[in-house]
Amino acid sequence: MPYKAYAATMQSVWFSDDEGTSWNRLLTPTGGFYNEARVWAVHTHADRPGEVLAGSDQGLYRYTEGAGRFDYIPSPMDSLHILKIAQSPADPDFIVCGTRPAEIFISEDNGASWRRSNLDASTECWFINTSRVTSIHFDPADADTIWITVEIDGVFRSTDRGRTWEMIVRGLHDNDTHDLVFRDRDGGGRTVLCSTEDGVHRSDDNGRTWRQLEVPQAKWDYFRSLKQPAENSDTVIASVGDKPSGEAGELLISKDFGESWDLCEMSHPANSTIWTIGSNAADTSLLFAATIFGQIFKSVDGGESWLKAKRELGEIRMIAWAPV
Amino acid sequence: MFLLKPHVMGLEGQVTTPDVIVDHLQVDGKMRSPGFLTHECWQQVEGGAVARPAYCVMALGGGALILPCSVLSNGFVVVARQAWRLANLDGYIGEVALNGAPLKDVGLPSGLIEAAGGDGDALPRGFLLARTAGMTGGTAVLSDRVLGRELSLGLCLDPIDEDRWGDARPRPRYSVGPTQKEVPHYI
Repeated sequence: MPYKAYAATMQSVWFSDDEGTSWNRLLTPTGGFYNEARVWAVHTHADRPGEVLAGSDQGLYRYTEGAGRFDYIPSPMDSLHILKIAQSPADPDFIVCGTRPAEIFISEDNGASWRRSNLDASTECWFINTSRVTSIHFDPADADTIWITVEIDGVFRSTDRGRTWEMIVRGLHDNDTHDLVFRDRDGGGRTVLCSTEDGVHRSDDNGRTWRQLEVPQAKWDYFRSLKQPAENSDTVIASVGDKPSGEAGELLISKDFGESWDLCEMSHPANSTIWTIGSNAADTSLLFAATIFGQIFKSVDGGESWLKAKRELGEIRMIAWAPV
Repeated sequence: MFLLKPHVMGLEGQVTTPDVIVDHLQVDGKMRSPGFLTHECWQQVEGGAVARPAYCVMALGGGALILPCSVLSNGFVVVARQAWRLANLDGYIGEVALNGAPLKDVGLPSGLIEAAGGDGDALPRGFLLARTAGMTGGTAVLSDRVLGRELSLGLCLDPIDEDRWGDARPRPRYSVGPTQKEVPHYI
């Protein structure tokens, strides 16, 4: 299956069309994108092969394989940092973007028009001054429900397509939240995991309450990315680091949705916190991971083992791959 | 001073993204502060605000740009971030229409350019010259009938007295972070 990998970095978006071995940016005269733009998010959708949405400090952009360039999408976010992008699995025209300062902007017509959501996230943060959105998730069971994590303010959920939000932080040791994964059981019952600055938290009542999990295998408490290689599976990969941005990191794998964890086998030590894990349902055995300071790791066995690519990039904020 | 950040569409689909400093703005031949320029398509305006579709031209090293823009009755001039480069502005611009009106009827830029101290396609550096059409509306569309292409600028005008929160606008909140304890306001 031919695929491309994409890395959002502080020097634009990098592309790999040889399974993550070599990486290149688009040509400046034709690519439609400033090659030193800060990019925090790259996002693909299964129904839009060859299309990549990118969130930057210059606005929102759409790359299309046919055109081979980025096209600017007018939005109210041009002067913000667009940190996260999500598209409804059922409707790729339904786009949700999260920014710094922590705001949510929503388009239900593929970016033609936008509304600013009424997210009441904190407007000032002692620790990072300005809060920001760290992840966006469409609820796996309800197309109108959206979950987000905010750094540093907790977990929020909207059940009305992003019009109103509820803050759900009861039991979290720390509102410095980074990512979520969901597991819906046959016959009912849901477990949600949330990564935070202070470990992984688990909710068995759809986010109403949380409790911190014991993860003795992790050297550190700073959990960042959570990823299920296959949707609604018990297998979860978690990235951990000594701190943000950090000087060391590791990956853990759980095959029972967080009950127990094992360290993943990594070919090289991570040079900083592993910030991002990229998966795609088209091949649940293939994953990419990247440290914030530019290392790229690839797994072809569903996250059990990881091989570091020789090529390193600058600061990486997100990595993704998709069939083309 | 305003930083124009256009995506300049080439004939073969290539896009260049020069960032250009605008330090002189003229609207229909009258000097205006470049501080009125913005790329922000989402504008909060007072009731009764009107937008006038317009086009603007600006010289760059590789040829003149033409962009759709919109002149608001509150003074702001919203410029699209999409542009064409016309190597032969004076010779070709007659093929371009603004919201269906040929630019020869809207007003060719040659007079504006000359008034700004330019000559033909050669505009002075840093000048952005806008020409409004005799119409109102939130969308400005430049169409090129020869090449069958369009550039569009759509405005979203929100009334300034409308509150998205209704009567429940929350107070700003202060979050502490990972210290796990109350932090007194330190300012």
